[in-house]
Amino acid sequence: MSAGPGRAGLVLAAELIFEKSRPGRHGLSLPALDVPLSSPPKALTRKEDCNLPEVSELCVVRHFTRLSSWNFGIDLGSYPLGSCTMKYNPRVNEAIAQLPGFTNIHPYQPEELSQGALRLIYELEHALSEISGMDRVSLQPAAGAQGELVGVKIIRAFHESKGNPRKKILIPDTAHGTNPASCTLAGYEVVTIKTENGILESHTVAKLMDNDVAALMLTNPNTLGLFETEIKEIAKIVHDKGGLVYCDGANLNAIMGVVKLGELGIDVMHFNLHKTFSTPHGGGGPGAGPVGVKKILAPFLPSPLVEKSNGLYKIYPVGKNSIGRVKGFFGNFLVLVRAYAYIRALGAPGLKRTSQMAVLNANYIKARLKDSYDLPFDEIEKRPCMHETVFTDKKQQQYGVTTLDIAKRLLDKGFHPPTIYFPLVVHGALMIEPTETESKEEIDQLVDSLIEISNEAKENKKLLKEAPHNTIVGRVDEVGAARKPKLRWRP
Amino acid sequence: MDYTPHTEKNIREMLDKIGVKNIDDLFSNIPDQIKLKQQLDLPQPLPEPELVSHCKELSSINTTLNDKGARSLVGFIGAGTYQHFIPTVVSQLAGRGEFLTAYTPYQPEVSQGTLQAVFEFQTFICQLTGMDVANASMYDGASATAEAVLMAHRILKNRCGVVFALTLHPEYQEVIRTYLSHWESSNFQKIGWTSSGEIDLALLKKALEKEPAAVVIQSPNFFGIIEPLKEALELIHKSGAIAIVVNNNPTSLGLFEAPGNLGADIVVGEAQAFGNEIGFGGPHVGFFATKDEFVRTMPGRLVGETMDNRGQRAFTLTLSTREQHIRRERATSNICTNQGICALKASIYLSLLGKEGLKQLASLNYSKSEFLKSLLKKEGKISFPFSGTTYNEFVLKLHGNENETYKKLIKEGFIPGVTLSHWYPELPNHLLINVTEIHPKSELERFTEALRRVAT
Amino acid sequence: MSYEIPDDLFYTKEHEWARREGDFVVVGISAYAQESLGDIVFIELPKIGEELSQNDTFGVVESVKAVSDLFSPISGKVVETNGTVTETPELINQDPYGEGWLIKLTMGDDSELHNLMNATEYEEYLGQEAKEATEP
Repeated sequence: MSAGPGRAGLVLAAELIFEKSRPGRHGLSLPALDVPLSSPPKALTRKEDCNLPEVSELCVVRHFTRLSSWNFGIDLGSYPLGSCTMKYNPRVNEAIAQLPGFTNIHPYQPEELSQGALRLIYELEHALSEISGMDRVSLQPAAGAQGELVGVKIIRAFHESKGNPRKKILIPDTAHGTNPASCTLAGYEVVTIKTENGILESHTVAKLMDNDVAALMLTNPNTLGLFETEIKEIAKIVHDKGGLVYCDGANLNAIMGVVKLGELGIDVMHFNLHKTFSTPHGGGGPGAGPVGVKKILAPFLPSPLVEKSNGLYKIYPVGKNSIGRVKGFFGNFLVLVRAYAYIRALGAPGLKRTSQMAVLNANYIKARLKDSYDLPFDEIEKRPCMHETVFTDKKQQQYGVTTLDIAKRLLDKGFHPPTIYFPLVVHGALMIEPTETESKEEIDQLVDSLIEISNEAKENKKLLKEAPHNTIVGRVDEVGAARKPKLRWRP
Repeated sequence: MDYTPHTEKNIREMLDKIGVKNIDDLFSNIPDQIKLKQQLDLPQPLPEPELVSHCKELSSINTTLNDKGARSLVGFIGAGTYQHFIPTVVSQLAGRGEFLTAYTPYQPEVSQGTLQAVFEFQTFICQLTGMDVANASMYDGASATAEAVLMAHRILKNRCGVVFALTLHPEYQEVIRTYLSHWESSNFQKIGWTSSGEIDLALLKKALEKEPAAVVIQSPNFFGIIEPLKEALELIHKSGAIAIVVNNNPTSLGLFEAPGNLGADIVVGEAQAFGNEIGFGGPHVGFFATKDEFVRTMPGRLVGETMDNRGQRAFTLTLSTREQHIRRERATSNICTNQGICALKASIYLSLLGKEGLKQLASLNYSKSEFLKSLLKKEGKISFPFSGTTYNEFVLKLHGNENETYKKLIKEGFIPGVTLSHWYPELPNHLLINVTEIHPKSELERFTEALRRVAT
Repeated sequence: MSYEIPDDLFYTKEHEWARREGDFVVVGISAYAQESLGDIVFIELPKIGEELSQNDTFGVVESVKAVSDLFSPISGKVVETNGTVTETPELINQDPYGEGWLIKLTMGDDSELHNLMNATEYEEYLGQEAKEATEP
């Protein structure tokens, strides 16, 4: 790294904040001490100072502004990351989530003083119920994976109430990694269902279904972007043996206003508000993963469930059957606020158009790219896809070019790459989810870039192997990072 | 209002390229009999001006804490989430779209901003707690605590069971129970408190005889009291169990000894106090720190320093084989999405605060809390049930009825804290009161006077 | 692609190899295994003295994006582990049949060795596996 601030043009370098520290500087003005100074007993006090960096306010502003400039985000360009639904995050929702009437309220203040917040929770629950066809929704889980844990715990509690928790959960091999991880966490053995041709077939489920199976956990539309057409038959097979059906709602963006999962035999599901309902991903979070259930499972839900009586919104005390809480307080409330604002802005027609345009965009990409990139299954080739589609690097492999090279080269062209190497059943997968908020011109540019890359694979393999070239750092040594982990700064 | 940019002409061209007649054809794989016949029953869409005024109206119904808004009251309410001053810079920087609208940094070449910020967050947490290694954040303090208990069982494969102090935040206790609900109840042992409000070490010693895998102690505890960590950790280590220390207001670490320096094996907690709003309880930001030797049993993401192919320093997600997207059913945790932006806010806040600022902040909190205690101690209708050292939160006992006093204080313009009887029926008429740097002396005096007027 | 498959070793379906050395058996992973894992970044081996049965997992090998369990080709007691590979796991990539060896076991029932594949059988097995992998 050069000594000056400039790296390349106006791309500015930033040392670690700790390396900028100079004794005696500070960046925050605290109120003066207006009461007598007290000190706790020496035996309890900290012996060595905590060496936080000593920097000025401007230094902090420049530091984090420069860091931000090294990130790619939706605000900068297309982010077609499959299964992640990287759609535009409306700015107005950010402003609404920063209203003091939402930020400066305490979860333990009396209910009468939080009526606005409780009403919002109440109305959001009802909107999610209507969209999904589920009877009740708990807004507590902090993220999709925590929603899964809640869902699986509910399944367990339901079976326990019948006298036998059962042992196994069936999960298709196309599932997100969180699905099996959540089941193990809840004490279940995972049985992987091998899918044929990208679709879950009822006869496969029938073969595996027995009285030890607590539930089938599926994703619909699935991670290959296909709607599970046999869903109702499959649900019946599971129900007939006393099992329950869980749906990972990660791909809800494809079907809003088109079908309701609750009408397809799904008993429990989670939503990803940070996908479908446009709350920002924030470089990792926070999200929210509400869990919806059919009536029969409602007694097992965790709080907060808000009821309205005599014009007052009240938190409904959970019964003895509730699985209990999975996090403190009422969930990621300020994320709920953003999702609420999004749903209110769009309403029923907006949500349906959202799904329609998401599906249109994905199919358009598939149509334009299918000659340049391989589609892994006949079913993907034959049917329209839903909100996303999956290609492979099969055609490029003959030139020694892999999915990773394609992804890295796409960075040079100004796009975030698709999800790569997932789902695991597809060798060299490139999973593209454009979302509804990308325009035709943006998508055309993305597709043109991918076609260019497939040509480069033939003509100039080196260009791909050494990509990215235009980013602030080049290919990163992940092997070195894992062999000798350096996980914090030390002086 | 929807956010789709498609013109009619775009739609036509795209459908032609796909080779279908209309949008409905794209959904032809969904059997007709399951398709919705009518529109969803949701309120009418709102254009932005109406959306904003509707949400402002909803928010304005809520009573806010200490912000001089139209419905604001002076609040002394903490109990696991604390109102501290948040510098303007924090939300200005964390609200930048480049941070806000990025996904998990799976492509390090275009995510160095997020990655370096997380690396700095990991360092901050290590510095504060006195531990070797910290992850990129957990959902909150409660779930981080439950994850720590699970991790202890991965370290000590031959042991089973957890001991926790009853002075651990009651919701954290509940979350541990939920995460481990498929366990026998004999695997949970609870330890009571002494007259000082500290964990009862004699009971702890006894509980350790059952050879549990983990012991969980919160300090400052739910009653605001600094626990005798040194003595407790010695006992725990002697028994071979994993010592988990919880801290849900780490501003206290500017004044009190870091748990890592006292020998904690895992330190978890809540970093909301650093630059994050209370926000009706979330999103907050859990932290998770441990010793180097346990790093491969940790849950959650880790960012590591490495080099790129041009010889520059670079950061990347690392040790990912612990995680669900690779190890699936055998992962150390199912966590995927975490609390990225909240962790970023904490990092920005801690950068501004600095070494001296942290000490000052902790001292302000301690001194103001002691000052309010000294004022209240002069009042006859109040007593202090616990004698232990507190940080910025303490318990007092009213002689009269808690509900009446609470209601009267609200009329006087105060939210006086939280009553404990909801979680501890054996502690009726006890109030948990939190004081931070945001409370000027005058408010502490006015509160004391109000309490004098209404207490019976 | 062809991989080095020494003639004097026995192989498991999970791609471990076993080499008889008098009363002991040395165990490692095959060239095919290290190649398919990619750069190995971490290895976990059992404690000396641990008793293993045939097919027991005895450790874990990890690359940046993959994890594999290690399965014991035979029953026996662990008498030695390769401390050098835990420090420098890249040795497994560089020399899987030599310096990249993993553990040494006492030889109990030597009929177990003959349940394993010999080099020719293993080569055939790899051919089949490669064929299956290319079919969707």
